[in-house]
Amino acid sequence: MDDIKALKDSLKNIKVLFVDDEEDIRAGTGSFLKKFFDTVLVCANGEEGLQTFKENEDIQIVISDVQMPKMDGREMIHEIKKIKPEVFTIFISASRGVEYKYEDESDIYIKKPLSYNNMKEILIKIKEEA
Amino acid sequence: MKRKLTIDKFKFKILNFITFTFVVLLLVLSYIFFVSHTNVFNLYNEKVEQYIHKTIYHTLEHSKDMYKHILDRLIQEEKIAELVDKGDREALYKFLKPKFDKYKEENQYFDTLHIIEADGKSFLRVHQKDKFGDDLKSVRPMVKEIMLSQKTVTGYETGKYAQAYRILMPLYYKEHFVGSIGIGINPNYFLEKISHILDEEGMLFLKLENLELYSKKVKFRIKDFILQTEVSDDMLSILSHIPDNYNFEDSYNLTINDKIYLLHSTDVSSFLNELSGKYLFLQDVTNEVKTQNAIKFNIILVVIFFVVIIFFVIRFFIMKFGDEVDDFYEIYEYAIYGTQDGLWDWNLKTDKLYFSPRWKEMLGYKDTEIRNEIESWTNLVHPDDLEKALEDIKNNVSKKTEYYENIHRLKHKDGSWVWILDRGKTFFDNNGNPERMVGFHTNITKIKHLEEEIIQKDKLMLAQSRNAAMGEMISMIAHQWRQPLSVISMGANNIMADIELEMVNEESLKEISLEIIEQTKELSKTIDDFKEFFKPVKNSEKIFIEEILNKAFGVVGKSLENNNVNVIKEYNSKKKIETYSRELMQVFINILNNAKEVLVENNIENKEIKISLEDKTHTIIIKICDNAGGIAEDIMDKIFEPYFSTKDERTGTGLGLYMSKIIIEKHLNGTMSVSNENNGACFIIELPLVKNTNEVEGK
Repeated sequence: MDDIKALKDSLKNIKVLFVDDEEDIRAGTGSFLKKFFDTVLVCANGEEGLQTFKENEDIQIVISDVQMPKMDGREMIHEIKKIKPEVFTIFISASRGVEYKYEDESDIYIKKPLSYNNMKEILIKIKEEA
Repeated sequence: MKRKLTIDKFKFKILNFITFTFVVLLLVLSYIFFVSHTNVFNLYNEKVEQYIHKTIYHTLEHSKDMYKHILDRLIQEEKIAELVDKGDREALYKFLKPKFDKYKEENQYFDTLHIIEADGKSFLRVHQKDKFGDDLKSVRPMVKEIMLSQKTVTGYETGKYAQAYRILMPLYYKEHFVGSIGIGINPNYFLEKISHILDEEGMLFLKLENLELYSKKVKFRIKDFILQTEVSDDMLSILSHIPDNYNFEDSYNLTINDKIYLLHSTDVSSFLNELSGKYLFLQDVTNEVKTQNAIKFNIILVVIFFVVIIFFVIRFFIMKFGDEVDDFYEIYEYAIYGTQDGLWDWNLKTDKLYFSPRWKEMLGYKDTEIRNEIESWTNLVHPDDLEKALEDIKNNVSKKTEYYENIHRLKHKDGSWVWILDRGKTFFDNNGNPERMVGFHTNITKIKHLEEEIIQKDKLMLAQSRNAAMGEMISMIAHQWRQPLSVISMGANNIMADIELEMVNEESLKEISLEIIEQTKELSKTIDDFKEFFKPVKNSEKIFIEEILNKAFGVVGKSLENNNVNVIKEYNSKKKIETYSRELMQVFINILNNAKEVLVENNIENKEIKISLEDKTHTIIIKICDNAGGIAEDIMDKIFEPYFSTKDERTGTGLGLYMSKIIIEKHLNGTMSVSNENNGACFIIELPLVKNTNEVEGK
């Protein structure tokens, strides 16, 4: 219990960008992230996400879906890394098979649905990176 | 092969008959030629005969007349009668001797000049002066005759010493019969004259009895007739060939070695008209006969030549005809033996039935093991097939059908069932009554088994495609569920985080719970959609195509959405269709899924699937097109083949499109085709509004 509170303390100043085209996911995952990070910017697609990043270059963490309309997660991350190579990226994929090959394009690659432990591991990883 | 023997026999018979006919014809023709020729020949011979006879007759008559006149002139001189009356032999001899010598000089055959007294005693033989006074009336009938009649007498008469043609004339002195004067001409005179005219050698034969006193040696004789004429040795050797039974028949044919003679004969009669001798002429006809024979031979040769030619021409045509008949039967035999069909022949009037050995062999029986009766068949027919078979036979016998055809099973000797295709026809007599029914059995067991195999294979494929579809379905369920599951799990994650951060409040718990309930509804709905797909096929239903498409999207929609495939719907259909919606749904899902996979595989920028519906009079056309670049031309005609797939083995079975086509064309009575349009593949399905009588695949 204390660990998680300590984790929250160490993470709260980190600025996070979360991109997902699915509204329910945005709501659920968004509210989860907001419990730990003070600043969570939520976008519905890659284009929007890239735009938000450009406006907030102090974003340290980018969490994104892969398959999205307009601009997908891969392209968005690629563009963001051009702007800020040291940004920490996480892919949360909804689909199977074909997307494994993009594993290397992101720091963390994880498949939906995510368990509570998955979420904690991600948070710990972020804390370590920060 | 028996029939072939029969045909050979038949052909042989015809040839024999024709050969026989021609031989007979040849003989008849030859006979006619021979007869007509012999007639001509005989006619010729007859004419020759007549000519010879006439010649003989006229020569004789001429000579007789001539010597009659000579004798007549002689007795005009009264001196002869006077000297006879006076009995002055010396004076008469002196008077007659120079005349006789003159006659003899003119004709060497002028043999005798004889003066006979009135009482029949020889007065003077000018040719033999010293012999006189002998009584002649007893030996010389002619002398006796003139004594009585005192008129001229002529004829052949054999005298005491010689045979001669004689003319006796009475001598009158002062109106008083004083005796007679006669001359004798040797018959050789006539022969010589005649031979001279005819250019043929003649002979005189005289009756033996008349020559009692004749001293000459007998050289040759025919029956009672003795050769009188001097003949050459050559002629004698020819005569020696005359058979013993020859009796001077006219136109007698005598063949000696290579010579052929014709014998002509005429009678020599005494003045009393008694047969006393024969003239015989030998005509050498060797050349004539040889010419005749050569002509006959040539004619026969020509006849034979033509007959042989005609025979061979006819024989050629018969052989040709025979060959054609042979060909026909050979084809027939090959057809029957080649197909291995079994024949049956049923006499409907006598109820006699014939089954060919092959018919029985088909069922594993020997010819002797099955009796030729209808019960043999009815006992072997499968009970389920018997009624229909009997009905088909009955329909054909009663003229309801033109041909009899039935498929039934017959029990093989080993207990197995043999599938038989039975085909036949009833033949009717002139009154239209069924007379005979003939047919043949074809063993179609293999075909039947093959058919069953194909049905089994189709079933297997359908099951395989169903399995594949189910696999795809599960993957689609995963798609459909991943999102709600994510939401649910994230809700739980939020609660957990709240608990651990000690931030739990009722408001957020309630919010999350509602969200979870909402998501489970979504899960439940997905399951319902899929359940629809796996539902057993019911009866056909009347439904809008749009409804079926919506159901398909319930299954595949999320997958399309997740892969950014934009679906454009151009629905212009207001008609309901009678169809099996579940099967059609499988086809739609299959096509949509294929399109999605190709679109993703080819990494198309703006992935698009366009679906259009269009009403026709009796059909609806459904077009499903993508923009994934189309199907390569070289595989265009293969995509509906089973087990053909462009996908890797992990994702494709190669049965999807094959089964889709089977469903559309075999089960739903429609058509399904593919073409490339607007840089993509277009599947075009045309379905009838009303489903026809088509078997329902009840699985």
